[in-house]
Amino acid sequence: MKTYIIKRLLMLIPVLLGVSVVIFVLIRLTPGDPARIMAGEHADQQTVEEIREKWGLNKPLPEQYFIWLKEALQGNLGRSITTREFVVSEILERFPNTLELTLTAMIIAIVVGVIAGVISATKQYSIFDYGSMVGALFGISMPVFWLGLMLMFVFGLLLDWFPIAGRLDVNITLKRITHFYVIDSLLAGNWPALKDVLVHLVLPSIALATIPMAMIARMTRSSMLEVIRQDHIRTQRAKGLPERTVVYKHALKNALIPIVTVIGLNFGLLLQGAILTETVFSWPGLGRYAVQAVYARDYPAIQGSVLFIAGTFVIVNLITDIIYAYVNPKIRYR
Amino acid sequence: MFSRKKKIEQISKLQVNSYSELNETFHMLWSNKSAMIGLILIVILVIVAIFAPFIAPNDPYQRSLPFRLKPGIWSEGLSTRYPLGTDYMGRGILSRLIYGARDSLTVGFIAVGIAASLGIFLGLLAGYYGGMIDHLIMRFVDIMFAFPSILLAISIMAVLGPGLEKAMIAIGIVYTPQMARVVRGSVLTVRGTVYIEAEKAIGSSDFRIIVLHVLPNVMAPIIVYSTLSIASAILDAAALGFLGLGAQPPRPEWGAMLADSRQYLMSGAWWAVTFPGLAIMITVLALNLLGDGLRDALDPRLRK
Amino acid sequence: MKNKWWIVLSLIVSLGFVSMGAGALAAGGTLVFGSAGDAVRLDPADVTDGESIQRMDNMFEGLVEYETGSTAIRPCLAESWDISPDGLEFTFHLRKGVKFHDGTNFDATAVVFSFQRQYDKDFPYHKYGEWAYWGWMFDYVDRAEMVDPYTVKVYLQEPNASFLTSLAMFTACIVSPYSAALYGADSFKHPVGTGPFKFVEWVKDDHITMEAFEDYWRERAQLDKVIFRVIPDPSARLMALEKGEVDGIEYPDPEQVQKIIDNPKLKLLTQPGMNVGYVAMNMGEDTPGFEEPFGDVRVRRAINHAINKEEIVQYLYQGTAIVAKNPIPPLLFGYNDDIVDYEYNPAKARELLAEAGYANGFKTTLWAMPVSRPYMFDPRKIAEAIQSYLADVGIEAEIYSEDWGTYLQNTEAGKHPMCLLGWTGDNGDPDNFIYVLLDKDAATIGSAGNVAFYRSDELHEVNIKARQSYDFEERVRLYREAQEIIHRDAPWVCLAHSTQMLAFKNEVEGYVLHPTSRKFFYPVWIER
Repeated sequence: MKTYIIKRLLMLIPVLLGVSVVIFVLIRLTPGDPARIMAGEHADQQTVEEIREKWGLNKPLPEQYFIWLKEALQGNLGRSITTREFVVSEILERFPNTLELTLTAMIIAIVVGVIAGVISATKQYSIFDYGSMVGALFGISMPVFWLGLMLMFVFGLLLDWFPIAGRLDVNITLKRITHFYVIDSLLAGNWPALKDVLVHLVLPSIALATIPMAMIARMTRSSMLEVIRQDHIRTQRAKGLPERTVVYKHALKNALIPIVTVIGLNFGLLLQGAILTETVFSWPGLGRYAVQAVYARDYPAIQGSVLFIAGTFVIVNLITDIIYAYVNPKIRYR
Repeated sequence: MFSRKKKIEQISKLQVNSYSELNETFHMLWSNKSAMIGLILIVILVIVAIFAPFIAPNDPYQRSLPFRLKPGIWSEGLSTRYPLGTDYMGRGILSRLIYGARDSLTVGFIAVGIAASLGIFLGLLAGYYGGMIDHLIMRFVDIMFAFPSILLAISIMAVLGPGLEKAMIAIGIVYTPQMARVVRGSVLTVRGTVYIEAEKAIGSSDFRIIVLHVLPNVMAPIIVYSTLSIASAILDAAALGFLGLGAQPPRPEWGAMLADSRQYLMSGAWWAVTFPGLAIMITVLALNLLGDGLRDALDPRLRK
Repeated sequence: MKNKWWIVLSLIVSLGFVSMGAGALAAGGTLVFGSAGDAVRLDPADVTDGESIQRMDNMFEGLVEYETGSTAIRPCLAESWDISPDGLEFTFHLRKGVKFHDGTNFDATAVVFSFQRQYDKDFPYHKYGEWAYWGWMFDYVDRAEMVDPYTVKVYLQEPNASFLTSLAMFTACIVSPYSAALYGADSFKHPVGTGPFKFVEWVKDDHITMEAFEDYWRERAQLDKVIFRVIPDPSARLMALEKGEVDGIEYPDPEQVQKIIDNPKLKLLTQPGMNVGYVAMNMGEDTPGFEEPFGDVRVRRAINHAINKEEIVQYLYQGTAIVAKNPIPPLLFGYNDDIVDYEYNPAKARELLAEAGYANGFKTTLWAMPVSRPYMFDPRKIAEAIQSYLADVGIEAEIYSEDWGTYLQNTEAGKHPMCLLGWTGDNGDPDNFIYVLLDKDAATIGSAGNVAFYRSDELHEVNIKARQSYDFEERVRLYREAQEIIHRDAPWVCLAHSTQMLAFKNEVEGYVLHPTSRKFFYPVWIER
């Protein structure tokens, strides 16, 4: 097991290097002049040239890449062109925001998805089964940004139940320690802040959770159906164990492998969905940061954020694989 | 990356080896109600797209600013002229949706077409020859897999510039690695078969073997994967349109329609945002239903 | 223009508030302002965007400042000044007893420091900023020198009558040398000035907080705190105002202005804007984007006839603008109201096109800004409308957009056949519109302000005369003539002058709009 993990970790290095080359090349192919953007609406040509020189934007491309790589290996991703801030600190400031949103969405998706899947499987062909499976089908077919807008319109505007943008009301002060606002407000025992944070989380996390929820529900149902039909579950039922114990303790345990896989797969999907959801809900996360960086041709910020997102993506997939290999030992010896 | 790999692996194993199996497959598909609903919906959409000029109640490009953002049949007034209301330029939303079906379907088919052709090429190379070529292609695929697909598409769009045609190319590129992997996996399962060993023994050219024996055997997974990919390609194209990178005005592409009308949602013109979204959802749903049905029908495990 | 009455009404109302300003005041309170974007930097000399500038306006001051609601100047950190007879030396006598937010004293060193770091490439602090606006506004300044602790002399290379006006701009604000040395490269995150409000915190993409500066040299601000909260989506911004989460917002969506007027708890402040939004047709034969038809004045006039500006202003600006017929807004001196605009007449447009040899129209590309600008709330929608008007007369225009920075760069390089653009005045002089945007001097490929690449010698002559003259009446006459020339040659379709708008809760009082769209919260208070 240990060697498997080490091997997989080592394989990450060339992948991430490749990612950095691909993104570097892509960005440099992009038409547009960052020096001009930095100089602003009224700047003259001379100012633009000065800026180009100062930021090393006049050097040959491979040289620019190796300079970047050398710095990146020392944990320095450079300063953002638009804000002049260190990209690393900007990313670290926003990453918890994204993580808080995706984790909340994940929890919603797992809890609702697994429960709906199990009920559907145990009550196959019931109205609930049909209802939730049709719902799940709609769920995976919906554009996430459209769902976000609809939720905003109905629950934010018409019913006025939830706020439609941001993470926290500015009139509430909260000491930012971990940057996970839920944890920060718990640590501070600041209940009004906690309530406000949770209320802000509701709409974006539901929008984001819908697709994974649908996938998890479908996977749980089909995997449970397979398990329930197996002999040992039938035996346990015949032994007279209560239905609830049979379903949740034995059947679900055996159905878990594909469910874990689909959860891992969905975490990656969530990161993607976050890019759009953050845009719709003005959520100050990493996805929105990356998109804005692309729009503004902010080279260091694009490189940094895409590398970071790709890294997270790869690591999440790796963890899924490891868990999968752990519960299903056949895999790692292949 | 096992997670995505697994789905791909499952699909790679789908095979149709004989006419009787093909018959069986069609039979299963016919009797699968949800797949049939999907198929019927898609046929309807294609008909709507082809005959758009005869079906649409008004000119989808005709501006009439005095009638902008008016509601449809659910309210009094212009309802008969504009059944689903008008957008910010006073154009009928129903007519634009009908014409938009052309764009959305085209994006889906062409993007996946690009991905399939590139993917088949790379997958065949990697799977059939193996060794160094396989290794190189697969490492590249690994790298591409490390990008969240929408982020990669956005970055490619930044290079290509906005536009529907470019969105097709970007999505095509993004989908290529997955397709390559499906094909490669599938090729690996046929490579060792007696047929191919026999052909090799009599000295047939690689080209002949690939075209006559390998390709037909990998078609089933390609079809299933493509159907499912068209659905997500349509979603991704809409997302690019939503971010302002896809179709440009005045083209009535659904994602762009939705994005351009987004700002009017809060002033109450919900119809301008809701209907394009519904259109996307129905199309994607239909493709998903058909894709799932195809997969089940082709799955030898379920066929037995 | 059904909405005209409220513009007038709210003008009267806002004037009323100004005159009430002297009455009994209720001090204290926090004002939360909903901004459309976050600041980029917080160093007044190193900012170029409206969002950063509006934060600067409340923390920093210059040697001179604008009078309330006008572009006339009055003393601020300088109590008085003398100008040498040749107009090349300005001696400023500084105000005593002024403190920076960090407790240090304001004096001549601070003034020289604030300027020298911008123009002197060898000055150690030069490397911490781009100083883009200095080159634009002050390139004729030679140097600044300290005479004694409260006297500063500024030497110019050539006389410039707009120097004092320009000193009221944020670029020339005075920063604390002590703090600049303390924070070095990070100074842009730690703004320290002499202004009425003192920086407290900046949470990126979320908010910036400042509080009243207790040792301010004038009376302490009425407000205890000002918070700029970032809400990019216009609908969300208005909703936050309606719900009371913020006390005021900028750039309300024209579509929702009626909602603000109908809401008894809110008020809308409006003022005719010092701006212009236009379509430029590229006439520069040597530019990469040049297309044959636009070299023909008949085509340019045809396009002027083809576009229904009234409809655009009524439905797309939702009445929050006035139709433009000249490149300068009516509130500037020299505005020529006798010009008769090209009327909307597609038939005439077709005729003109046929005369020019384009009876079947032609294909072209219309460039549109990707972002909302003060002079054009939604450029893409306006482009789409123009596209459709042009289609009516047989011209097939494709809309092209790219990110804002590249857009500016490429239009300055003349890569467009037609583009949307606009301008907000810096100092209220017609020269700042007509010379900067339409003179042949400004039509250099790569750095053109004149993106129509309209190179008229006739106009140039008039411009130079008007620039050098100190006779007001003559300048008025010359600028009126300039507008006639421009109207005749039709390098642009002048679209609209949009109205500057801010919305506040009723309790917020004393706010006065400034023609340059800068935002001063010093005299504001909250009525309870």
